[in-house]
Amino acid sequence: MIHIVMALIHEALPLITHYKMKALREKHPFVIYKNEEMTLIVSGIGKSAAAAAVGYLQALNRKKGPSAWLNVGIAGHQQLEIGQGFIAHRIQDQANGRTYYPPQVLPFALPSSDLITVDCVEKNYSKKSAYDMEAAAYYSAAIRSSTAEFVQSYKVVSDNPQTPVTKITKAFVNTLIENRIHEIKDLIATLYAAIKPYREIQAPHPQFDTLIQRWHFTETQKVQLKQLLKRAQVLFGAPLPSQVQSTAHTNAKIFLKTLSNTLATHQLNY
Amino acid sequence: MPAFSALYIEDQCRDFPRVQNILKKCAALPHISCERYGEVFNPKAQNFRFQKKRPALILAKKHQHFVLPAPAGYGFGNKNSYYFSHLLNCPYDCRYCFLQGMYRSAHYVLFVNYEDFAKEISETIEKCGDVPSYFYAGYDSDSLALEQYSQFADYFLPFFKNFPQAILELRTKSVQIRSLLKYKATKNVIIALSFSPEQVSKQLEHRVPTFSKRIAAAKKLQEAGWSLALRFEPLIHHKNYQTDYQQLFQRIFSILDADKLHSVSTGLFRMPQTFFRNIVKIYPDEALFAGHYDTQQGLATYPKGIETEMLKNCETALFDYIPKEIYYRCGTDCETT
Repeated sequence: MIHIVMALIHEALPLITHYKMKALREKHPFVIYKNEEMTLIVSGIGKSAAAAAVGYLQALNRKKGPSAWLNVGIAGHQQLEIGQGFIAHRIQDQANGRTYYPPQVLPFALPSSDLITVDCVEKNYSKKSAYDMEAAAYYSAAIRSSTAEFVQSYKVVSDNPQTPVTKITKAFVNTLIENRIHEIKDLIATLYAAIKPYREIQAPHPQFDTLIQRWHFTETQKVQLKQLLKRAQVLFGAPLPSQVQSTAHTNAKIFLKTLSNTLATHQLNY
Repeated sequence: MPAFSALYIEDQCRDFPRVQNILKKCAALPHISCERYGEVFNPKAQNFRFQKKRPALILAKKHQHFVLPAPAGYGFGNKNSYYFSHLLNCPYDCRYCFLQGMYRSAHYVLFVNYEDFAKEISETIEKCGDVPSYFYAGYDSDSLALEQYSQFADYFLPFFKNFPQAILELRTKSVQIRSLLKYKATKNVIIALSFSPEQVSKQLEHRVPTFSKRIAAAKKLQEAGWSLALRFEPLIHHKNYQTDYQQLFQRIFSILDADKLHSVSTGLFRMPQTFFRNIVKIYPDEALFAGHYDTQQGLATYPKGIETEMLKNCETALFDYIPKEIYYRCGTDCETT
């Protein structure tokens, strides 16, 4: 699952259209769009809004396994041309100096830039960097529930010293994102290709639910069961070996013992 | 050679000639400034497994603890044993390696202030007086695999030549031996080579050069007069381990001259329980960790019976080729037999 966090609806429309996303019908404090593989939340401008939006999506998706996060939006830049897209490789919160380094290990094939998150619209562009108003807060919130490699921020340059921020309109923002939809698509595809196998290896054993319904397991035993099943899946594949599958076990304790003994006697073969 | 995903450079060492050289070699990569390497290397929410596919290179300056006492039982020197880590993390991806569980990040950290390392090493050697001292350079990484960028051998081989009473061990799986062959063999430098049976290596030692390339490189080094050591660590228990290790020893000693070896060691698969748990979390699908392990003194180990049997069988096979005088067991129960 990929969660996309964007500040403004006019930035988001090109993605919503391209991915045929539908608005959630229930009432939520944020506008949320969804398809089978991704969620898009429109946070509003600013750090608090971005962090709150991330937190809200985290809560909604608490039990759904590992996710990737992508913040898409516009940013000013000291040097880059209007319309250029980039990945943020260093995000700094101007207000408190905290700095984050989204790992650049996935093969995005995109230019990258420093990004400074500011509280007010940047007009000076004093550093060789991009400037936005959400990324630092979005990132620090998103890495609470995801490994950093899957938390990325992509921006399109909307203003620079030659083309000031006062010229930004809703239609202009829409066009900026639309013109970069191919890059955003590739970025999302790369994230998806990386997160999918990660989700699969983290998934519980297919027989876990069946087993905990067959016998009563204490919470500690459920943890043991998960660990043993994972090992069994790696060594034997699914389903479990016949001596473990046997219905002779009368309770959870005996089942766990049989499974543990079966694993203990297995020898690797190279 | 490894392809870095990015270069992170501490501001304080950007102007170092060594750093500038690396920046020129990696001009096409993103160059990302940071204040201290820990900002990139230490954060919690990182996945070693993903980063291992395309690690970045972090260029940093070390400030303290340049030379540390070697862990008990590590290496061949009993007294005055030290290690120093100019590089954190290794370009190879050996699934049994403790680094996966120790570090949150798989990025390489290259400490570029070699001169500060050298200063503390020479002070340490001086403190030892006439008593030999031992310095291990391959504890947190492979000593030679990043030589094209680190130029570690280029700096430290001439340095250690000035201290004949000190022994330097380089530990490597690399076949990049040009940096060694361009020097006359230094008597107090040992090149330690780790080997596993080929079947094990194919499954567990990712990105490591093939056995035939490695043994060919070893032969060249030995013929050039370099003192080699063999490290059969960790011993990996599996169904036909006895036959596989016998065949490994037979192949190695049919090519290398055992009489010219400095030392040979075996080591058991052991690592701190916390590291082991971390590795299982990032590699839940790895068969090596799905087997049965005991806990001994806070370490994840094979069951004691298996450890004893493996050591006995491997040592018996080894002593067909080497004298006991050059053999030692690496680990907490270090003893020469």
